Amino acid sequence: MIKRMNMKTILISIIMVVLISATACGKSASPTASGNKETGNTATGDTATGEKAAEPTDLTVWWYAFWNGKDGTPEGWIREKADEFMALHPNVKKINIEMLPGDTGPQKIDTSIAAGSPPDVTYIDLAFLPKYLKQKVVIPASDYMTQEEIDDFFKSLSDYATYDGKLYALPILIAPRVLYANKTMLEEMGLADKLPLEGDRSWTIEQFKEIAQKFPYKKGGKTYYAEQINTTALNWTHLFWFWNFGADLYNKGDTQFILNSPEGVKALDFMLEMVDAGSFRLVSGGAKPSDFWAGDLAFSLGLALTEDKVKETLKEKTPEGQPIPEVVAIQFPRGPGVDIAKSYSGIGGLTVFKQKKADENHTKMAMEFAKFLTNGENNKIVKELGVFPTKKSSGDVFGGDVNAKIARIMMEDGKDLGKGEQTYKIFEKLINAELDSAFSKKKTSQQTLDDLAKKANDMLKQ
Amino acid sequence: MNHTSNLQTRIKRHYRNRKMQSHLWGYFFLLPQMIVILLFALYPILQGLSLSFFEYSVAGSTWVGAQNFIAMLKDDVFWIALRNTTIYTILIVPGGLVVALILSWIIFPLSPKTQSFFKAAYYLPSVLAGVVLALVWKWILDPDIGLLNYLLSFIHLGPYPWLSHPDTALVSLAMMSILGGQGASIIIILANMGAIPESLYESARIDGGNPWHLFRFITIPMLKPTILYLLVIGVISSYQVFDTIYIMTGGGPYYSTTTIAYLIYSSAFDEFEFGRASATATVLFIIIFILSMIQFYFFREDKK
Repeated sequence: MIKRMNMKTILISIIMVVLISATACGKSASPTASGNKETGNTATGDTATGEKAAEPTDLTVWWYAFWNGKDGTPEGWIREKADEFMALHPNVKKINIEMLPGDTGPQKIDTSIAAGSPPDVTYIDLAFLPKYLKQKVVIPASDYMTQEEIDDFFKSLSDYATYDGKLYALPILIAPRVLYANKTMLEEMGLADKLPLEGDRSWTIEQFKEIAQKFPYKKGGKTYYAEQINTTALNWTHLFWFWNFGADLYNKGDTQFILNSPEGVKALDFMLEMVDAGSFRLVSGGAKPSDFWAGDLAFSLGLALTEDKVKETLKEKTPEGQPIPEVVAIQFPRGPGVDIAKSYSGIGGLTVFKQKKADENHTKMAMEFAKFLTNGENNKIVKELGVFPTKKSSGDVFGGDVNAKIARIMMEDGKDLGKGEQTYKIFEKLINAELDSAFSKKKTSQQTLDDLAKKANDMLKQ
Repeated sequence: MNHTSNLQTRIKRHYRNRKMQSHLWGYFFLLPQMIVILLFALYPILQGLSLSFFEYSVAGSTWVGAQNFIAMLKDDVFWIALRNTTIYTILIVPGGLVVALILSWIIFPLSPKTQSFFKAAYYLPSVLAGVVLALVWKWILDPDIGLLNYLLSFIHLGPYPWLSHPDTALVSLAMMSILGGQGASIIIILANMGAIPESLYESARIDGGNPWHLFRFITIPMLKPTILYLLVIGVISSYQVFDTIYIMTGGGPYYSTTTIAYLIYSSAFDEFEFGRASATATVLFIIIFILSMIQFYFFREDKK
């Protein structure tokens, strides 16, 4: 009897422990934990200074291998800045730095947000800021900044990170795109003289077509293409053809999707013509993209790098045994009626995420660190990546570099992927998938864009 | 009368307690597994089910009733994904089974050593992570540098955009699964082939049966429970296909390889629509649950 009692007691105890654990897990994973509310509501700027500011705290920062520090390692720079910051703020006892891989880093951030344990500070592509705002996990930076500090950002950049009058991220770099041409390949084909290498290096679609229609170019058993249209994953470089034919994704205010305009149809017809002729390579589904820097393509859209950085990249990417080609930066070709070539500039920035159990002092220190990394002096480091700083106080870091000049011209009429709550979804879910229907001949250009517009506008109404 | 009834009840209780007592250790040894199931299967299922009725946000969730289910049903991509998953299942489950049966039939008469070699060779891909296999097959199916197009070029065919065209992408993925994913089925079939009494084959041979007759009228009927098991398990796992899709096509081109499991991932992590993702997962759970019930039903029939 006693034995049976003991056994029963053990069983009941174990079951109770399991159930209690399960319930505890449920509570800790619950999104309604009170810590969030506290952090969100008390994030009101300078109110937490004074006694609380001196309380010791640790920060967690997730960073990418953008540029090297003095020790020559990718994490060296952020480590040095963390040390400098801790010297200025002795109450910050430790800054935990984790380096993210470039390709899967954003996924890791997304997963951490879903799990309710994001880092304090991290770098994000600001095109995806709305996604995080929808989750209500981003702390408004403007609550912790003076107007003077905000005004030091180039206005277009701070506007890009501003929603409902609040600045939600601190832009750190702007990466405009330019078109690169493999001059050596075109010289081999007797086409280099058709490149616009004088003045501001602008040209038209018709001029571009004169070169492109000579492709595909076959040499040594390999096929070379003028360009590629890549509709896999989150690629968007083909949108440049739409923009430079005069089409836009959205109307002003991002309330309507308008890519099915006559200009949009012309752009898609042009891309189809190029793909059908074999001038452009279509990369969709599971195809592997061609690598311009390894000499597979004549043209490619890319980050505006300085001439030195271009040489460095070519040296790194050119396959062994092949001569390093000459690559030049030019403007994107313009369609009929388009005066200035359109560009897209990726804007990267720092966000501070809400933490479940963080107090105001912790949040303030996280924000101070984000501000510190983006101050006028530290912001100059982005030059190492060949991209532009976002602070006026950083000055002109590139001097007279030709590629930087081309990039500055193209930055004048920048395009974006939309700023609304639904626009990132339209970009992630609809655009490439729907364009594939035209490239696989399931629909005409007009049908494809009309269907895309209908679905996108339905999404915008949600 | 009342006394007799009380006595019967007491006797019944006594035997029930004795039975319970003798089984107690059994339950005790089952407990660790129950704990694991409770924590890592039942709890997430219930949590997911509850999430499908909320609009989830890290900062707080809002009850939205059946809205996530309505949004899911109104979404064309959901129906495309359901269609793709079903087509994929129809292609790979019977196709894979036929391949596994034929290979097992060829391997079975070989010497034990040779059998072991082939068993290991076919089972090896099952040991590797799906991601590794997907990467290898991605290279095989590459339109420009892939092995398949290279081999086809010798007979003046291709190149074909296997994974880059909506008409061929799903079929290519199914082909990969049929050819490379039958290791476990082969092992199970071979084990069950070994259990078929040799006397049945001997009798058939005396009656003039050729190898095809032996296979058709003895091997297949005797393997019926195994085939049924493999069919149902195959259907369940193919409805959950995700890793190969994620690595090889990302659901494209033109949604042609978007499956239910990929859609769940995409809704949750690309769009942060955790509620809708959970609603889709609930529907997938129901589909798989129904298929499992069918499995139980057939096994019960078989026992009869």
